[in-house]
Amino acid sequence: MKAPRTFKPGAEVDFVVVGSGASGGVIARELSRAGFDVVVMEQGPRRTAADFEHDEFKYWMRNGITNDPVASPQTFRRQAADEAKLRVGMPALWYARMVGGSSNHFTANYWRFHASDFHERSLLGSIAGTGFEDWPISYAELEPYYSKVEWEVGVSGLAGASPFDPPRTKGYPMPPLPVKSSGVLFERGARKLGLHPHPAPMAIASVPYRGRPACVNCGFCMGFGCEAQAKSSALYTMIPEAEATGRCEVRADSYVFRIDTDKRGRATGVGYFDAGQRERFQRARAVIVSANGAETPRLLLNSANSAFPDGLANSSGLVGRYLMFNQGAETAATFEHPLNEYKSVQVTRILHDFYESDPKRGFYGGGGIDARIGPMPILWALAAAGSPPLWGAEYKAVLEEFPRSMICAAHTTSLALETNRVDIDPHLKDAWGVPAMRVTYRDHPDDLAIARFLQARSEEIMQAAGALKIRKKPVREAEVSPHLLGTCRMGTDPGRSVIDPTHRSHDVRNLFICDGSSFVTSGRGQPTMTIQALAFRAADHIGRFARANEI
Amino acid sequence: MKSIDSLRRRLLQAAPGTLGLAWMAANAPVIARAAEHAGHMAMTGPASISHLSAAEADVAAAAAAQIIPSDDTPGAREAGVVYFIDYCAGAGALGVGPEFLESLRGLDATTRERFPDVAGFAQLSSARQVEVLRSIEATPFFAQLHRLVVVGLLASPAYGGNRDGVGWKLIGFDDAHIYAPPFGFYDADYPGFIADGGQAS
Repeated sequence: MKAPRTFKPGAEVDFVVVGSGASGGVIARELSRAGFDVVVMEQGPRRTAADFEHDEFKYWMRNGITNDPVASPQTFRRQAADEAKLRVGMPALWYARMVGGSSNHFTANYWRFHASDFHERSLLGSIAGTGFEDWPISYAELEPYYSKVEWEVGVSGLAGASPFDPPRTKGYPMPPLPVKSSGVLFERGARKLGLHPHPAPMAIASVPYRGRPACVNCGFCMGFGCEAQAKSSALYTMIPEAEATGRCEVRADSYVFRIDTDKRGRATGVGYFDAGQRERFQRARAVIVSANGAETPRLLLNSANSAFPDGLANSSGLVGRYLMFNQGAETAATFEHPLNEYKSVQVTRILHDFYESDPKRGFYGGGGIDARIGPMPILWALAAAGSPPLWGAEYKAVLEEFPRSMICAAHTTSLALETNRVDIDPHLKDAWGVPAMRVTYRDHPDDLAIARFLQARSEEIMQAAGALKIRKKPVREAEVSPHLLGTCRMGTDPGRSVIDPTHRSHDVRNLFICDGSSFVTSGRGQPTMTIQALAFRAADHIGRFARANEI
Repeated sequence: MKSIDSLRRRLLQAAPGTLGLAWMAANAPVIARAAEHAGHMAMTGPASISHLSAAEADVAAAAAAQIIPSDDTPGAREAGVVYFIDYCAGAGALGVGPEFLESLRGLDATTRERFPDVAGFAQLSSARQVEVLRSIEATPFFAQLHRLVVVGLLASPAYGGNRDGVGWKLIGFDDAHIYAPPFGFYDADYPGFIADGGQAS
């Protein structure tokens, strides 16, 4: 294989894509395949499969591959009236900082949104005090791109297994991964209750697929990089395929801190720091921001200049607003015999019986429930200790329950609130001297209500499955999330959204934005499938605009 | 370091019959890579105390041994949790800094206040150590100490604790990197997924 193409920063390329993750990887691959020159800027390093370790302490407690709260600090507060405090330990907005982005460390749950997700406001009516809106696109418009994700990126699953699945034009390219004991118990319990459990769609190869091997069931998925290359991370799928075109350079250790505009209000390229902290500039005909729902709004806000004093693409004032996380609830259960859940992927069975919002419940929201191991040994043992922590012989006995335990996890909605946001901290700077982000987040009461509702259903399922012991993790207001959604929402009205339905920013003609920030509603967890479907669709539009000289 | 052969043996034991061989053939490069990985991280860390004072190390080791006691199975002492705490003191990890170390030494001070004839916490009888720890179990210091002990028990042995994987053995976690189904008791005789009114697959 020949060495991937490189470009000189001074030369104008067709596209610069900021971010090499789930979305940026897809867009880079699609546009370079369509014949355009593309430079992908990635702030983090390029790692390979051989760099990944089974090191729970490093990956979960010391930000091994994720954004480091010292070099890239964030402040957090519940509401504007509170003082924003520096986050230590784990950042509030958590993502993998490396080529391939968070598609490296995600769990790889790949649920499609349901048709209702795109027009819930029309179905249910408005919700006072929220930015609850319909999407400007429908499930039918996105469906071909969901199929594209399943086949091009690689998703294992079983079409037709769930009576609640939205319509699809194609089955999955790979069968489901082997069921785990948690899946069997979940299926048993749920069926007793008349529910509809089914194999989980996962972006993990269950059989050799497009040059990648099948999963070896090592169990280190959630929060870890895949050493087997079986997880369909952008690092193993879209990125090498983009590079193979000979028209795409993925520039690692290149931290974009500003997008420049010219007198006509057009984006000219991006200012970035290279690995040696030297300031550089990459020129481009158009800029595509896919830096994730946290870094995308921060970059736009930090790009304020005299023509765009409130930040780029921010005439609506909505850049960074309507941040959504996805609430959820965990219910731990212990059974008589070993499950050995640490072996194999997190999730093998899910159910969507409670997906739709039901006005009879008295609050907005819906979600899915899955069966999984949840945390690996360290975090499992810490959670099992409770607070104040158990210790001594009693705790030791609890620790020995590890192989016999599982988690029933609910993944639920978060409402869009204008007050939940990413903006620029007025005092704090990162290790490069770039103004840091300030996060303001408070769950809507309905977010907590649906999480508790599904926790009660999870408990019933575990009881029906014959659990000996059940421990419900209290549902609390969220302060850390890897789901970074809604901060540059899509819409047709430039006064009430940041990007149009083609992902073009309303304000800057050659600036496109596509990642979790594009979401109008949160879905029910598992956003990456939809992020990538949007990315395939956005790349189609952007390529068409470029060919027609409309960028 | 585990060899490819030992992983292959383990795999074949785990997956007798056709699955093992077909699956092995399809995954040979991955198995080699995973085998390499199995040796990627050292199974033992430093065996000496470099950052804690002798008194701090004594208190930490004694308190850890109460949090995860040694009985018919190994505990924090056999896992060498104190070496992990020492690592954290050097790395500034998990909030181990001057304040934590002061609280650790404070356990000696508390001991001497309550039991003037005893030199320090580590010298107390087990029952009295428990009594002292009970008196602080709702404090942030105890929560932090507990956290350190648990992480030290279960983190990679490269960090000094979890010696020879005794913490993993205690909880029943096998660090093998490759598994084949069935994984547990309940999936061993699973008949295959049958959708409502549909076919098994």
